[in-house]
Amino acid sequence: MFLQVLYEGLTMGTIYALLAMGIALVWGVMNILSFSQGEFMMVAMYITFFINLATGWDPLAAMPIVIVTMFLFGILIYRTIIARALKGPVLSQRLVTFALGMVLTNGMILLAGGQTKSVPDKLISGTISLGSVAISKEKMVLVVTSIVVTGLLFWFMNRTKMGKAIRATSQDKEAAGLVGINTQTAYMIAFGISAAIAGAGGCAMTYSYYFMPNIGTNFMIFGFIAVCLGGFGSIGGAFIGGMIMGIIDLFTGTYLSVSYKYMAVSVIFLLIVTFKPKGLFGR
Amino acid sequence: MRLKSVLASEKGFVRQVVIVMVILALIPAISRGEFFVSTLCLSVIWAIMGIGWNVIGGYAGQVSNGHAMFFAVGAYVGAWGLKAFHMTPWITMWIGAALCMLLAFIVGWPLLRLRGHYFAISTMAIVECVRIICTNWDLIGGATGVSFFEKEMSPFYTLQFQNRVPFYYICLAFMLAFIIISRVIQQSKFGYYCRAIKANQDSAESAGVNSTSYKRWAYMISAAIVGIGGALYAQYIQYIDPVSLLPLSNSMLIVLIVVMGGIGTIWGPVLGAFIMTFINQYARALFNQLSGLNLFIYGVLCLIIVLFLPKGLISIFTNDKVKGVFKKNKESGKEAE
Amino acid sequence: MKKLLAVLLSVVMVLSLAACGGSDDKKETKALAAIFEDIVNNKHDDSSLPFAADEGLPGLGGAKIEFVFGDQSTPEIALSEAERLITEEGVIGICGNFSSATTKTTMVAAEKYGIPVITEGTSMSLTDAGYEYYGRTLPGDDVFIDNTFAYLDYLNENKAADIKTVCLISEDSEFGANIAKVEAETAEKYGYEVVENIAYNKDATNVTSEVLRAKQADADVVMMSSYAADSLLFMQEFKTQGYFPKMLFGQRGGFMASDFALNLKNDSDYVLTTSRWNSDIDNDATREITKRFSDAMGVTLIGDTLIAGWDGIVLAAAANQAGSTDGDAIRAAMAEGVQIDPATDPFGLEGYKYKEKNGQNEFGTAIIVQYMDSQLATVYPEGSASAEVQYPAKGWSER
Repeated sequence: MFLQVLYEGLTMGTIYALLAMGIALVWGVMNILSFSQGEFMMVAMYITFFINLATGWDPLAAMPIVIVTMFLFGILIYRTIIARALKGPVLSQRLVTFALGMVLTNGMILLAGGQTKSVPDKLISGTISLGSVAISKEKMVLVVTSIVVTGLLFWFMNRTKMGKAIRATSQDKEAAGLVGINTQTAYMIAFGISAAIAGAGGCAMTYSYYFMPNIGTNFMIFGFIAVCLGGFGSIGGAFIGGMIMGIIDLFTGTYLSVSYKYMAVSVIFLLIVTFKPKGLFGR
Repeated sequence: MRLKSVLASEKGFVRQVVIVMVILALIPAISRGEFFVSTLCLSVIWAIMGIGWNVIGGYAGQVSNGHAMFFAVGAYVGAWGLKAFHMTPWITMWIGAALCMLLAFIVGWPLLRLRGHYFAISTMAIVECVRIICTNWDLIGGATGVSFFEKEMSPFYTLQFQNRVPFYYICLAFMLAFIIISRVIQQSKFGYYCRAIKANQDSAESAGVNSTSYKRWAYMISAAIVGIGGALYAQYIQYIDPVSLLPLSNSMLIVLIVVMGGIGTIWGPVLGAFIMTFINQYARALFNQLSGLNLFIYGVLCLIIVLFLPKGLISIFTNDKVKGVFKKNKESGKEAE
Repeated sequence: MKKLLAVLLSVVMVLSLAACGGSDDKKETKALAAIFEDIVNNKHDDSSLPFAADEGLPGLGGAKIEFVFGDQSTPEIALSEAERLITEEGVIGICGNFSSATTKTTMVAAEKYGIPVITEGTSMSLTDAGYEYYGRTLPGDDVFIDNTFAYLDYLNENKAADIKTVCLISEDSEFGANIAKVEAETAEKYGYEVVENIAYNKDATNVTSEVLRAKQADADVVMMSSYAADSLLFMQEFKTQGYFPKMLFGQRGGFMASDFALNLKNDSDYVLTTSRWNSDIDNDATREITKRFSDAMGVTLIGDTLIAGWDGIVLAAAANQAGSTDGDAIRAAMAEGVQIDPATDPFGLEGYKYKEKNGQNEFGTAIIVQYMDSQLATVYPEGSASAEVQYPAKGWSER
């Protein structure tokens, strides 16, 4: 039982982590608290669903398309909305993403209806039994996706020119501009990548989730908390924060009280920020 | 006379108050239809909450995303007072406000030290805790909520009216009081220090401003006003439960209304509340055929206003220095509606 | 023109706050309302539904009926919409709320204006509130849950089912919390042991802990109350954890929704739920309305949708009988007993007599249905059963 809970906690953690990394990237680079990240995930789920409906492709096969589409979608949103919002006050930026979330959710209701949807006949399904632990293959898809995405993200941010430019911009915008980095492009790519992360996450989540247009809202606050736990917009911190959240969620839920499990997450978060106001790994 | 000199120095403000109040007081003359008057009542209640939020969010610059908590406390106290003890909301709303202040004091202790996004997220987390407590606390109705329906007592005692026009005027009176309080805060030393903290907390502190204390007071006042808004809302809707009082969207709506109207201004929250509530209510009635269309339009409008009018709708009226123009614009604005 | 109103159940969201009371979709309710409008307002000689032979309502000089729709996503919206429909659309009655929370605010408006309301929120708090203009055609939680346990007794006696323990899983808003309360009381009354009582968060991001706890408790029967999205999440997780109890019993809500079988396909098999009505009930009216509906919408009609429209027909019949559209007259006709020809009644109820005290129809009955090959089949009471119950359920690996 203990091992099972631990495994499930880590699985759930990868979902929170995927969400949190997207939020952390936008937060770290352009200091926006993005309320629409959960909705991006929802949009990705529906894109996967529509691809499946039209061509019968499995979500895994559709994933590259979904990621690219979401990347472009992110850039579109950046160009039309975020770039303009960045000129305004911080609060407006946050509200813009909230309003965007509202538009996406209700737009999806208009487009696809409010009913629950799912992707049928998945390529990988079933359960592997390892002693007392039942490992669901559907959830493994999520875990693997999350690890691959995190790995790619780290490689991108640390090894590529664009990644370094984004990091430089997030540390000091003016200095980055002075050494010849086009900060606007860096912002745009960062926002696009954040949407692409949501794309990968949403696509993988269709493997083990049923979804409706408002699914993003339920996850949002936990994404934020995970980012805060990790500390000031750092991507690695967000990943670990997400993992911690997943484990707290499952262990309090299973061993203490189901009703109060989200309260446990919130209380632990409040305690941590009270005593370490910059998060666990804050600089 | 001091009052006289105050009035003289506040001539512009007094004129604005009189104009707006007269317009708002005469609106029910257009139509006494229940839906219209209800929408007016909702607008005023949201305006009160916006004014309350504006004290901490607008003046002191601490963007709380968790004011639904105070809204709910006010509503619960008002509801239970009437249901269990037959106490009139006229009394219980002050108890609720006091409780909100106490809660703000306790919660503010750790939270107000946080800055920026951290503060916003922490307030959201607190609301989440309050929601879970309310849902599981059977003593206050738990998930079933509180339904209170008093037919026997006088409507002026219970604030539950058959036709809501009197209720509208009561709410309007509260709004007037809070607008004046808001103005007093804005003009006082307290408001000045709050703005200094908003502009730059570190330099305000180095100039000797006790930022923690000022922020805490702003937070408490803000909580009390929102609590009274909650008490009025409870009598408006006559049924409350945690699901409808404490979702994240309620906290965000308060912020949205203030920012739409004009953050940190006296009239911004009022303008925002009226316009957004009317759009919301009538869009729903109008676009009944297609699920989601009304909120889609609402969201798009919010996007447009936030993007193109970062200082809020009020900036349409105040971009000219001449105060006299304000009056003219305001009236033409009303006609356009 | 006389109007009838349905404040309808919708899955519309308000600022992302989902408030779907039961399981329905706006489109389905609208399609059903259109069918009923057509039947009542035009002459249909071959139809076995009420008022088919006449044009309009004979008692009101051939007045036509019209369903007007409102939104009931949240209690606040339900209140606003009820006020709008009453004062601006001039409706004579309200039907179609599924969630008890929105019914309570709808009642605020209805009581003020003396407009009768017939809706099917099951919470006991509705009949206990002392509303004057409230009516509920089918039973509340007490009867549904009493039926459930009586059925367990029946299985123990007749099928040697050997059921002793129960695990309760319910969502934590007004709907699930009330059911959990009644379930715990009724289980005690019938002598079943409640080994686990789980109240989970309505907007849960995952239900793994909940399922692990249920799995560990390993009760004979798992009783659940969930909305559509949660019920699917639970079924998914049950499968992932390789756990299926001998009997999984839902209390309507998500388990009755058309989304349930649509998404789960054969994974929905063996799930039982209490229900208001099922399309396999053996009478002409049922056959006709089921056919008309599936012709129009292409999906099987479910009980929760049918009752939303049917309550409107009952209101119309009450007005017809009273010969007046006055709220008090309609309410009086409801209290006295609305005469509906049993041959035209898909529910086959003995009568429609709404108690003056609390609005409950004295003759409301419930049925129990089970998913078999992803279709709902009635299994209880014996008189209306169309299939033998499949018990115990097969585990996931044996299917």
